[in-house]
Amino acid sequence: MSFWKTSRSARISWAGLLILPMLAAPFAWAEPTQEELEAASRLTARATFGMSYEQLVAMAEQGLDEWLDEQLDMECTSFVDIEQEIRDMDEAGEYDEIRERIGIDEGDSIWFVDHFDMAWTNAVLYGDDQLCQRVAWALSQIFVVSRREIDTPPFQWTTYYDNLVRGAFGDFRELLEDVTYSAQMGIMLSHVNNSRPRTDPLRYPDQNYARELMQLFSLGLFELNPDGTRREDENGATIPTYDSQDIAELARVMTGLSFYGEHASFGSNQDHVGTGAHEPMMMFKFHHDEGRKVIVGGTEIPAGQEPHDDIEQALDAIFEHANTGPFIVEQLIQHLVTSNPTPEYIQRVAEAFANDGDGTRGNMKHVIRTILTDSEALEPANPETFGKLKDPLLRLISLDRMFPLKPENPNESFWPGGLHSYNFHDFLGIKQVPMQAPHVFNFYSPFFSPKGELSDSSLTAPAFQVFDMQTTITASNMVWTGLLLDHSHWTFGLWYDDDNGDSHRAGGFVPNYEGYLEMADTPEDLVDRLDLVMCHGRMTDEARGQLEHRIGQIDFDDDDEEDYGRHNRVAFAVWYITNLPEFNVET
Amino acid sequence: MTFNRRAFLQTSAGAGVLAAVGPWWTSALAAPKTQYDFDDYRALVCVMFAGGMDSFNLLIPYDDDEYEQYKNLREDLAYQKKGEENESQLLELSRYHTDRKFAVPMYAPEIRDMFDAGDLSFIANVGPLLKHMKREEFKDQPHSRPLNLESHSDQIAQWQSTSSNLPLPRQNVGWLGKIADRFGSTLSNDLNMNWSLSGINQVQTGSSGTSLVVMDPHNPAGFEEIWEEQENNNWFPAKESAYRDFERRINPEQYENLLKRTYISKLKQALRDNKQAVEDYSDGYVGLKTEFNDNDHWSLSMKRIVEAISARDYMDARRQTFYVSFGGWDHHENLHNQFNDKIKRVSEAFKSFRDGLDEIGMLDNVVLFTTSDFGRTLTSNGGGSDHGWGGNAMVLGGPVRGERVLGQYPDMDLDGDQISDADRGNFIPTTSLEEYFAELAIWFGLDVEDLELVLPNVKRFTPQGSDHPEKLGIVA
Repeated sequence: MSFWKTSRSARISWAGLLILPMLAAPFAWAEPTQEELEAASRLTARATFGMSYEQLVAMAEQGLDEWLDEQLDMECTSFVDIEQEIRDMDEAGEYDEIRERIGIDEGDSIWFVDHFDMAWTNAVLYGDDQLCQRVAWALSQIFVVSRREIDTPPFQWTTYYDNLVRGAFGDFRELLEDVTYSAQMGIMLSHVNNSRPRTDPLRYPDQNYARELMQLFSLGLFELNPDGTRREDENGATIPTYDSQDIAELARVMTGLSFYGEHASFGSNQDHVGTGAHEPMMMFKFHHDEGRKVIVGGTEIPAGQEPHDDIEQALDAIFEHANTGPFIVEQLIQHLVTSNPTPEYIQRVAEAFANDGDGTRGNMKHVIRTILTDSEALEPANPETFGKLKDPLLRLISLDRMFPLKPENPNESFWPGGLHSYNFHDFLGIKQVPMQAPHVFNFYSPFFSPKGELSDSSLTAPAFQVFDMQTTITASNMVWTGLLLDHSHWTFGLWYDDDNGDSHRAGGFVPNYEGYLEMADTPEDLVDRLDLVMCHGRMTDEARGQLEHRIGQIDFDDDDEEDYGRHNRVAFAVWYITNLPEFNVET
Repeated sequence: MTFNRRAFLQTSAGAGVLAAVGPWWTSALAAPKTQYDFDDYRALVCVMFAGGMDSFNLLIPYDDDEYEQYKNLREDLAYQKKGEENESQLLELSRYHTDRKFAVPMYAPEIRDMFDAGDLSFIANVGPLLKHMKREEFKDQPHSRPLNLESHSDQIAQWQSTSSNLPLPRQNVGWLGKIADRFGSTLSNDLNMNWSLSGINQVQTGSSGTSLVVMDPHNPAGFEEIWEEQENNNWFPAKESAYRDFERRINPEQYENLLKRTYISKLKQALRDNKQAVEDYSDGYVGLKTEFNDNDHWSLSMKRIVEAISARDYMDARRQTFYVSFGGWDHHENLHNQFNDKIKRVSEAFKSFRDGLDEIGMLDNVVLFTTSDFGRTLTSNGGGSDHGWGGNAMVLGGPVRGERVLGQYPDMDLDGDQISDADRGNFIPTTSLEEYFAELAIWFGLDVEDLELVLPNVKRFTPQGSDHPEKLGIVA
């Protein structure tokens, strides 16, 4: 695995925070310092879905700049490829044994194998391309398509998600185009089968995609300064970016698209085209509005162009608009680093969006690098207001990377190819499941400000919108159940009856506390290690003291072969920390 | 989202600003003009049709001429009146209190029945306004329009706050939340009087310290058990002691970071509220005989509300609001199939709700009112409609003067002077949110003196010499 690379030859200071430690002797590398480890841990909260202690050490040894370079050079895991692998295995009969064990007839769907959920689970838990997947996860919360809104087969979801995975390290202009032509988005925001206007019968183009493309995916509602603050007119009022006429005109551009297929016709639905919905939508010229249009910012699209050129020109205008950089990068910063970036931070990243140094606009690799290495990300000017509430889903699943999963029963091989899935249905209570936002406005709004100190200071904290009286306790209880009672529950450990009628369970996973159990006898050491991995070394003395005290209250018995006591000390300590501000607020 | 940040960050970059900010629950509130003390129980139930309900297909003109206009405009979106070749898709409403004929879709017989029985009325063409206006003024005075018309997020915020002249992030409180600020504690256990079946929302958020009570409709107990799996579990003491730490030993003052302080404050409150709610609610609620559809999320939500109301005495509750969001009304396509199914679910859920309240003897103490992002365009985009403005709402309950279409139902004429967009047929509302909500707030017990604190623009709709907007006549 690449994280284990130990070359330190090109180590430079991580933007001034790290100091090259004096080497004790030639040819012997010093252990990373505590500061280096904490810096690595802090980066994992922004750029990964969680890292184990060993991985943190490797990152620190490698040097964070090198780690970041390596990540940005990685090929991103394709969801479509994983999905294809599952389908191939199914066709090759590799799921037959599971069918038999659980009692599902041949040919019937294995209901607990959702190809998209499996792809997400495996890419996120086991992919080396952590940064790419983390950015794709952020993009999935900006370019929202929801399984709760539209009911389409899993392969369409993996196809859509691959647009985001490609976009994470790709080109923002291409991402806009991929999303625009995506059949999945066409269904979500109804520009598939959107037809030119007619007078008899009276019909107008559907405005849905035109509106949200501008409001959510590129421009936002108000004209912005280069630093993301709102422009004001001479009366101090905000200035709308576009009006309903601009939307009506852009809606005319977004006409003529329908599903792809050799014998496809305009107006067909996804059931008729089958795998055609896998492909970008195709243009049906007759149904496209060929007239002249004037879209946002006054861009004129002349009459009689090729339909694709109309869309091309409109996307160019939107991509080049002064709002797009600051509007998009502020949200990316919110998802990766901090809910309330300073205008200066936004401006620096927006400039990186505008030009990657080689004159290219929308180079996402350059944008992501700038976000993660900005001086404000490394050394916030206002620590009191810096940071973000952890995504509720990551509160749960990051644990499975910090304490990497292992099969509950090491002797069984249950899942073909080792591909398994979270039981996301059980995660609905925390109000965040991949691709299951309640609507195109995501699980939470980038503007949300919880009532109290934060709203009094005009500060946002988006993820608090789903941190309510119910989800707070549900999440805590889920982690409790998962860590201390029955982790298999999250990961589809399945019950089946054997020939003797006895119930067995197979296929579940449990966290691996190797390296921690030895520390369970000395709570101080255990908490030190967990503090580093889970809280980047930021635990307060009060929380630490209290936790050490509580760990000490749990007995262990040296005669117990299973060593439940030590296991429980570790599991309890991990759960305890998942309730603390130090873990949930990433600073 | 950066409106005020620069200013804040500049100040806070200097030393000491955090020290100067007191505990947030002490943030200055204007002193209430009235001390509220109630000796009866009343509840307001706010139903949100999220996505923008095409409500001109909920309440449909039925006089022959008017129906023809409707049909010509709505084209493929129109419901059919009985013709030579087709059965009617419409149910005519009682005309006892209306001078025009109206109908609802055949999928909503319960709505028709409740209307005819006097339990339900409609508010016609209601929506956010800064002043009453006609087509010409709309065209000539862009600054008199509510901000960001047709945008889901902004229009929802305006429906919930009525601050239609403020951009989105500045309005983070809503009118039911502000009523809670005025009323103070209306439950003996200090739970917030505003209960939500759909998580955190703006309409119920106020400026005072406590968060909403959030119920989980799918949980028969309504609330999450903190001490789940406690029986036969020797882990119970460890969990209990940990929670005791979070309640007592881990405190906001130990953190300088505002997000961390907010996190721990909210965890503490969630622990306290859940325990309190589980205790009072599970002791108090009544098993209902009225049939709800437990497989339908909306019906289930209405059931939880009735159950919660049935537990009122265990909390000595005097005033409560409930909020529930029914999503998925953004019917840009395939309007008919989707709308038929949804309005059927609404109709059945509302009927069960009405009957449930009747069963527990609370029908005369509760008013349900509906809201939505906006109405939709009258003209079609080929199977669906786009974002509009004014729409029709429903009010239901014992106190409601039923069997009425309140406000002014507009003429379906693209050249008419109540139209803002002659192509798409968007109606400029004839009834403002302030006029709609003021009457509900007063029924709920709000002093007219406090109206402006709750509905900031209410003076714009208050006739000279009066202290409140003209009443629509929702309640007797």
